[in-house]
Amino acid sequence: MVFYGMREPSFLVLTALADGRQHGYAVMKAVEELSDGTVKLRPGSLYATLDRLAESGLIRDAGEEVVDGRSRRYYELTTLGADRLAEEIHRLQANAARAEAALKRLRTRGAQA
Amino acid sequence: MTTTPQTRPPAEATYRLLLTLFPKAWRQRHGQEALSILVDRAVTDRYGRTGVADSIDLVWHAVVARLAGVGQPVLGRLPRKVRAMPGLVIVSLGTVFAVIMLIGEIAGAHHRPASPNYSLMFLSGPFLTIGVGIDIGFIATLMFVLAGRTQLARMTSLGTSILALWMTWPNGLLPYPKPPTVVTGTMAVLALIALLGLVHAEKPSRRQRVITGAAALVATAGLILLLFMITGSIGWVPAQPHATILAAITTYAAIGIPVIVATAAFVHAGIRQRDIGAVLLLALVIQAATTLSAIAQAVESEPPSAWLWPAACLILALAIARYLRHRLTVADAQRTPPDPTGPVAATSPSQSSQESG
Repeated sequence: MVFYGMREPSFLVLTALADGRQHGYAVMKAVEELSDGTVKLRPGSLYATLDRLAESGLIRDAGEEVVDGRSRRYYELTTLGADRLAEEIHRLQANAARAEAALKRLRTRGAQA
Repeated sequence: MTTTPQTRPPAEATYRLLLTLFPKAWRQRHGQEALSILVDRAVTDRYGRTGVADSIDLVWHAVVARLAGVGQPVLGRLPRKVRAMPGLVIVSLGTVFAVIMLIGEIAGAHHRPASPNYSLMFLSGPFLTIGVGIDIGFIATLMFVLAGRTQLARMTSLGTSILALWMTWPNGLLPYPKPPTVVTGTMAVLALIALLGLVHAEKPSRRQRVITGAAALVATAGLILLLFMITGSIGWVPAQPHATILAAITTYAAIGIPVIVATAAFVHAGIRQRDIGAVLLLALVIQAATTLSAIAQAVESEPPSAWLWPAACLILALAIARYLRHRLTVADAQRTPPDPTGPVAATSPSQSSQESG
């Protein structure tokens, strides 16, 4: 499967799971924290994203635990998921570097004018 | 958070109800955990009250999950790489029709008839009425698809399906003149198939999107040119008696050619997966669309030629399926090794191991 720029929620979910296996609610909170509150996954969207990533082979189930009488399903990053995350990070870094260089040129021209 | 009957927040009952909208498999997998998250959020953020945004999010994803379940028997069998194709093909097809009809509507604005029967002018603007909403729905869906906004495309596709079905409803739902049933019915079927395809597909690749956009553009331009060459206008021009056959053929061609293209896409996908069962099922769905269209034409006292394209589509689909089945059978026969249980090579596993040892 080819990725042409990952959607931000998917990127953040993979980033959250790069820290280790987590259950759905923890992923949801981690996404909000990682994005400084700009991306808030609601439960319907959260499980749709997790299911889609799992179907793509980027994450997988990592067992269930019962806490306070409630079942929690854990998820973890797969090797493929880690590779895709690394590719996306590289792409974003390259974009940021290009943007930074362009901005520097603009400021240099401004200073000369 | 542990809740007892006494301490249950008011939102819990609502969320439980909304979660029943999801398919059973989804509820078994995520239901309990989702409910606890929802209730937790309600208690933490809203004093236990139901959240409107959370509820809308649940309903939307429940609809998507249900639709994905409907499309699973067919679309789920397609290879992942081509799973987006059915949705893309049908959205393109619907948009081509929509653009042609919208242009006909705009171009013919000065020649609008004072009253129906609009079906007499099918070629040049059946969407004089509020049916133009279907046009806009298809165009918006394709735009979102091409922009890679699949979620928005699913939403506009759902809206278009509902609108087209609403307009197709026989009586009483609309106080305004509406487009001919043949048009709204065809568009409703296309919108529903497109919706199922979009719900089931992942975000199409850039290459798929570029091809889709280019194909839609070329098909639209080609058909508009064809209409102009046949009728001399792309706007509102009453169909002349001598033009009826030509008009009918053009109309059915406009419906049939993209249908054949769509069928071919499914056939291609089926070949890749070496499974033509799904192709046949899809071909039947497409056949149903053209047949419904012909029925609607017949009801509106159109000529018997209304049945030409459904018949042609059926014959073509059956021929393709037969050819494919033959090819697969031959290929399987060539790959199958000689039967080890045959009379000459008949040996028991123990004998084989003794011989090889």
